[in-house]
Amino acid sequence: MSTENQPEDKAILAALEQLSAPDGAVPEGMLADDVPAELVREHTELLGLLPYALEPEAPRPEVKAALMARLGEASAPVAEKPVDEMTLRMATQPASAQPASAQPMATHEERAFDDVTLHQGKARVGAQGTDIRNVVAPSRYSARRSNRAAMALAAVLAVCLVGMGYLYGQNQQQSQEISELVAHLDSVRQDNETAVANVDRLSRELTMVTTIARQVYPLRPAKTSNNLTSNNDKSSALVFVCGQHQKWLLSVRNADRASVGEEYHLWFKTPDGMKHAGIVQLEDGAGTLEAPQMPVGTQGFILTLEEGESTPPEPGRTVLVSNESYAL
Amino acid sequence: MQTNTVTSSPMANEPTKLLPTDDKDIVRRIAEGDQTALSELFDRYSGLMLALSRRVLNDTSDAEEVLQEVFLQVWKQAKRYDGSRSSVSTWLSLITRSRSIDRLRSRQVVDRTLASVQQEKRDTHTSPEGPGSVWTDQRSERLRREMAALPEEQRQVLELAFFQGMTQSEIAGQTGIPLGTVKTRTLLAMKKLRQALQAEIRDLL
Repeated sequence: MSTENQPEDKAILAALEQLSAPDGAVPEGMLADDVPAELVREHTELLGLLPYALEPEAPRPEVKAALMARLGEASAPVAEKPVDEMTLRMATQPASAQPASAQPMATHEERAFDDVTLHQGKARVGAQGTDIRNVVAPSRYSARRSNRAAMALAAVLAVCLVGMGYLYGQNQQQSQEISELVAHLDSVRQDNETAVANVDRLSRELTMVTTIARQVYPLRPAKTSNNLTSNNDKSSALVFVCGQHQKWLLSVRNADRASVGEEYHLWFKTPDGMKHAGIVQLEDGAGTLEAPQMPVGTQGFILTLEEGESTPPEPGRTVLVSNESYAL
Repeated sequence: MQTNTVTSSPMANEPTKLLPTDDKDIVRRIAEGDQTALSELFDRYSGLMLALSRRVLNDTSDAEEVLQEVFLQVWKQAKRYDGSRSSVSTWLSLITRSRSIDRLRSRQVVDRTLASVQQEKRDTHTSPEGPGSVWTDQRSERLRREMAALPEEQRQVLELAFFQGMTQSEIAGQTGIPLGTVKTRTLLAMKKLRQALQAEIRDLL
């Protein structure tokens, strides 16, 4: 059964409502003309009496001592010397003890203050809109804020230094890896060049071997030669000449071992006379000599034994000689 | 040591008491920057406000912090106090209640605290002046008696509204009681208390 349409009921509801109003204001229309403000005041005072039903608990002496210490920091009421309340909280409480919801608490502070100033009159008192948190902060607060900023800056710098150190280490490691990779690349490139050179050589030799010979010059012991001093009766040689006389190959077999200081030389027989073709290195009486070209008009070859390493201007002792050639 | 003006009671059957005008004078001195006045006000009401805050928060440590914040607010806003609109004790009670409820909500332990409606027994400390004056003791005794005289269901909704900061809709949702019933019980409780405590209310006006 509700009897709230009576003035006293409305006054009770208004007194209760203003306890929970966000801004401490009595909601619009709550205080109608038939609700005496004095009645609202009486019920508000009645609500203010309710704590007396509790068993009083004297606070510890430390609480009052801490309060008086905080008063020393505040030094004077806000009207004479404005002090930011949040500054006081920070100065007297550890960070972990500070309430997480400072804003709603501030709202209720204003509401609590307004609670006792509103219910007698019907209009709100706008002067309570003055927020002590908006006043100029004291220099101590600024200094503390500066210290915090400095600490934050120092922390940021420390983090940056650590990050730079980490990046420097990473850079060094990557540089070392790059150096190792470059060295490996050089090695691979060198191997590649070596392989290419080998391929070229093998290709040339293969080309040499696979090129079809068109002319062959058999070389036989030159028994009729006056300079013949070596037996070389069983020695022989063949010169294979490829197409267009561009390539030739000498193959010697069963030649006598050359004396110390002597070497076998090959000569071209041309219309202009003998021309030196090269030195033949023999091993166990056999050896080859090749060249990509030969003089134009070559008619035959002779193999001679020459003293000394230098190229003689004229052929020395003839060992083998070709007097004819055969087309293949 | 309290330095409040002590006057004779106008009523023969009442003990010597501190008149509310003394409270207003103390607040006026606080507004002038008198720390001794704040100390006197603290000695006079800290026990009551601590009990109120602890009742809301169910935590002594938090209640003591709220107590300091309340008196710091008094220190800073004393000049804004209008004695013609409210008694000092009501002013303090409402500030303490609001601060405590704010902290309670910030802790988000409303449910846990609601489950512990009955006040736990604990050690209490004794200040040099004692927990309260003779007038405070008388007033407390009257309030406890009249609150106890209320029907349980009426006392419950009133306590939830005042000590837990719940709206009537919240009380209805919390207790499962219809909103109209909550409202009726609240009105009845307030009317009974006002009728029973006319003398105390008149002293505050």
